[in-house]
Amino acid sequence: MRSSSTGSSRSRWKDPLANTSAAPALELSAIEALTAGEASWLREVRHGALERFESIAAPTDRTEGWRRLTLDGIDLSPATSEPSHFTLTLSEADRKRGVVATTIGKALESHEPMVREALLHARSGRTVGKYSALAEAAWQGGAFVHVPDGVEATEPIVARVQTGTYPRLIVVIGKNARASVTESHHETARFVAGLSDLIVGENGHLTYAHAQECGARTIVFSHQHARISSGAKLVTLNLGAGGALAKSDIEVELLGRGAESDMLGLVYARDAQQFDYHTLQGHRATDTRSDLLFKSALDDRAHSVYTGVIVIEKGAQRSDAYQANRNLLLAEGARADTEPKLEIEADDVRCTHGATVGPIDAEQLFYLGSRGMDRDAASRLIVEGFFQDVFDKVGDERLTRDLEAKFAPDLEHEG
Amino acid sequence: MPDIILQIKDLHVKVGDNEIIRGIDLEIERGTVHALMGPNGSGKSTLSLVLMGHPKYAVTRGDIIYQGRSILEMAPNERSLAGIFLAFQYPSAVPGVSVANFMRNTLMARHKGDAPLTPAKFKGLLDNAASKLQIDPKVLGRYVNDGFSGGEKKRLEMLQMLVLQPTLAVLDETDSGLDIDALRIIAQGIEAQRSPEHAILLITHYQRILNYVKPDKVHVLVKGRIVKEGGPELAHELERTGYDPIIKELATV
Repeated sequence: MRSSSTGSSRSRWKDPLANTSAAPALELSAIEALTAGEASWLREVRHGALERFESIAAPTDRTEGWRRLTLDGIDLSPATSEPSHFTLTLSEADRKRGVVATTIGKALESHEPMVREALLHARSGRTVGKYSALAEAAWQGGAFVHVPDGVEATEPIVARVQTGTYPRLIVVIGKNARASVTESHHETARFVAGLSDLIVGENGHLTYAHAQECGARTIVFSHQHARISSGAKLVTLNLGAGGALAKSDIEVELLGRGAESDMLGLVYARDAQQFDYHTLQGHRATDTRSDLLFKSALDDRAHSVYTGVIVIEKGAQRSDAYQANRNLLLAEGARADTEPKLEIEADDVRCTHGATVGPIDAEQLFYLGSRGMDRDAASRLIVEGFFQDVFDKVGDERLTRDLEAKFAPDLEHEG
Repeated sequence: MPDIILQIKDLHVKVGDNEIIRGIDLEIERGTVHALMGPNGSGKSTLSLVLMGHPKYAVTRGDIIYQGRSILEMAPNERSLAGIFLAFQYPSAVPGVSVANFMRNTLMARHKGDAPLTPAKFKGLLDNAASKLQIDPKVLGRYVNDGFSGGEKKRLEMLQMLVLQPTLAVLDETDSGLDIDALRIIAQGIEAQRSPEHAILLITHYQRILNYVKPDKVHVLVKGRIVKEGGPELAHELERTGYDPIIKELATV
């Protein structure tokens, strides 16, 4: 299976259109230009990140974290930094309540300590992240969302990105505050590397959806890093549909007692698309809880790689962690790799995980067939159902309603 | 001349190397209810799945003629669209797909190219069938057979039959594992399906259901062959004697 998908994907990459934008490597001088006029702490962050980027060797198919991917014909050279413009939707009522949605540039003036706090703690340090380091050095534009202490945003806040190469979104939820935020990506550039920084204050609640619907030829990197304070809860939903190769690091750090995180993910992949998800459930305080469910449905010659790490630090007694990865193979050429890792240093914990990879159940197909549905209609309905419990778990219908419709599998192209 | 809906001719069926159906002949006329009875392992469920076109079973000899033409080459969904329905003994669960959504899809498969059913009509159709079977409307929002009790699964099979109105309904042990109240409701569902236009093949181990649904004809299947046929009185005889005398009689022949 591996070799056949390599062969066919290569021809796809040779499409002349795909190579017209052989972007020059990002130069130090370009970063220098970016930082002109920025605060010294921020310039240091960018320079440090660029050094990290350069110190990490370019990945090959032997590099840890990349071995399972097919890199033939994939151009990983960094794109020049083009500013990312977020279209932000915030209801007037929520704006009046003090909710802020603006550019990072403006937030650096109005909410400097918050932005600084976010940018100085943008990663757990547990992920190699060559391209997230690049994004940390090269981001331009970007958006900042903030819900002040005790405020509940009543409407979902939407941050939509159409253009740019290194998008960045910072979300800061105050103490006892509550919000739903959707970040959606529709870039079609050759190369996009994005950062999302999520901070949830004490007893705060954030439901966050990240919908990746980039162009079919785009190489998409995404790094999400969340810091959850005591008593707070974060629910994340990652939807992967676009991109030729999409590689995501999703890190959640439970930093305060009783912090909780539900991490949900859905991938629908077709053709020779490759999706690589790496998740971190980091338990760093007592009585923390994390629950992860990532599902992928893979058609044609698509390939998904999932690596999930649960870390329970020594002091994080009574942590409760669960992780499940389920993969549905819709075609013979599709494949899925799944790999859980547990690092548990506390002794009083509950930690379980499970993974499955398999085709659609033949008895299910027969049952739907016996009711008149042809193979395509039956598969479509089964995949829809397969995704549904993930949407159900998000528990925010306002947020998922549109995403559900958009994410309904389209199997019509099948022969 | 009676209108023959289903004609099974010298049917032989194998799973792997194992011959399970070993020469069945059976005719079902429009407007009739036939009961197919037999002990466990006689091939009853196999016959029902073969009629629906389950890919696991290979027809090695004979033919199945439905409304004048052989269906052996037809896929399960084509058989369904042609008017054949199977109420499964063990229907699959379809997690994440509500009963209402599932039913909408079964109807969409039938209305290809036609104007789609209006939401109001669809709801009326579903609610009407549900009330006949005393199904709580909440069940229509639950995921198909996901966490359903045995009785709920059987009722959902009946619900689908009443909505789809098949010409030939094959009911595979739809009566098994039910308490007396549930059995009565299932029987009402079968009676609602019974009409001069429809034919029903009721597959059962026990005579019990036949107290509520009177069959026109009873066939007894043992070891892949029909060994005895008669009217409704045959079912009562079996209730008294069990299958042993028939099996013994066969052994001595």
